[in-house]
Amino acid sequence: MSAKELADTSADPRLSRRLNVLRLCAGALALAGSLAALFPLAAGSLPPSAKSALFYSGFLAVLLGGGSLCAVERYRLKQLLCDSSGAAVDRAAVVDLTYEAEFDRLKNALVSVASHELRTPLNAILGYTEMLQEGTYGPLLSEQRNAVARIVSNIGQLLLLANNLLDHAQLEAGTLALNTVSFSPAELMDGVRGVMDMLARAKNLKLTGHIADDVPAILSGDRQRLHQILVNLIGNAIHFTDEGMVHVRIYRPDAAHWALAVSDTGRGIPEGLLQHVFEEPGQADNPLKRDYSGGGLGLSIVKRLVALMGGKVTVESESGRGSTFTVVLPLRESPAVTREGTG
Amino acid sequence: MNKPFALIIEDHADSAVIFAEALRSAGYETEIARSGSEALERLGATTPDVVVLDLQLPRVAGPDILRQIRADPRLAATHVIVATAHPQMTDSLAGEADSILVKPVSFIQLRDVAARLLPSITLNK
Repeated sequence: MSAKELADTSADPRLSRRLNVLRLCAGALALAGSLAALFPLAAGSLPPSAKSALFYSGFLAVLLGGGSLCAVERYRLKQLLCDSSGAAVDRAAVVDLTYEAEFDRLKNALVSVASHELRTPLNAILGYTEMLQEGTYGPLLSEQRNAVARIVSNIGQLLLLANNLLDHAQLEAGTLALNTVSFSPAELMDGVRGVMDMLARAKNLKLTGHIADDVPAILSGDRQRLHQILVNLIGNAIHFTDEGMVHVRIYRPDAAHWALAVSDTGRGIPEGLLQHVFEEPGQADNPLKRDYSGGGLGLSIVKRLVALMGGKVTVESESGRGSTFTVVLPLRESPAVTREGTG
Repeated sequence: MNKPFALIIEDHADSAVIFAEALRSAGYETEIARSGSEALERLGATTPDVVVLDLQLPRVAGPDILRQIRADPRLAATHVIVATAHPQMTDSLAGEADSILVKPVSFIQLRDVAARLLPSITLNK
């Protein structure tokens, strides 16, 4: 469902206008956040702690902007549950028959719209930040370079969040259908590294990749979801690694399967917590929810996507010595005719 | 020798500036079209080597523009890089676009993709 369709379902033009004003306010808040995040670049003389404060307040404002968008849609839902004269309609009937389904539908539509609408401003923030980084506007001082690297790293986290919210909404709504195409594992690896290299660079980590010789040049699978799985695993590895490297391997564990493995030299996961890493962050008994916030949604999505693909994801880790996440999938070589375009 | 020419079709002003700068730094001359109709007008008057195409555009939608490029023998050598905020819209375009990038598009990645197309463009001239 697109933003336009969501807007069209609002029958009352006055309500629409009010909602648009609120959406605008939320957008403005997000923009103010981006500006606050970029402001220290202009004020080169600020101490580093003041810069950090500005970054975090900036990104907080971006998130608040998103949160306000949620609030706007909740308000709209309330309006939907009232008749045109403003009086509440029969609550019992609404709750029994419509409320839950409608709320779920709106929630998923909202998440999907919000994640699309996050992408456009993110595109501008990322682009200008990389242009600063690449010296398009002149050379940067070393403190400014660090600041820019931290903006890039935070943009990466917002991006992961946007992707995961969308997949999560589709998984919850049961509308996520796999789109099986022929793809080249080499192109999959290149595409993922194109995006993740900037995050690794921002933390001074090395991101390397290797494809074993016995992996067929063309495989069959949902390329976009495989990309998402790798982005989540690599994003997670970068998030929890402070020095060293992240290594991605594509190989064949046996004749009937192929595998993706992402290893890091990060802090690792204590043995007692390993069984919880694929749980959703909202689960009350998940002991990871405090220390490992941010990783949870991505890994639970990886697990659900891999299960949809008929595969299995496992983790091996030792506290202080890094982790390896391995996704094993059934090998389906592709009939050459359906070869997908280079995209 | 003339520089290769890239047409950036993007209605979001900041994204258009960034995409144009990425292509410029890869060695292209660039021009920006801010709507689907403006894009069709420019595609009628010029022969871009590369088109960077947003999918959600005012008046004429991106997928329709892509189909018109692919149907036009005059633009047979034109490479199309799709840059979109709607990843689920891209599955049906896989055979038609040369490259599909999902927003936020990394400036460096777009510059590299554009630079990789250069050899095939020079050969065609």
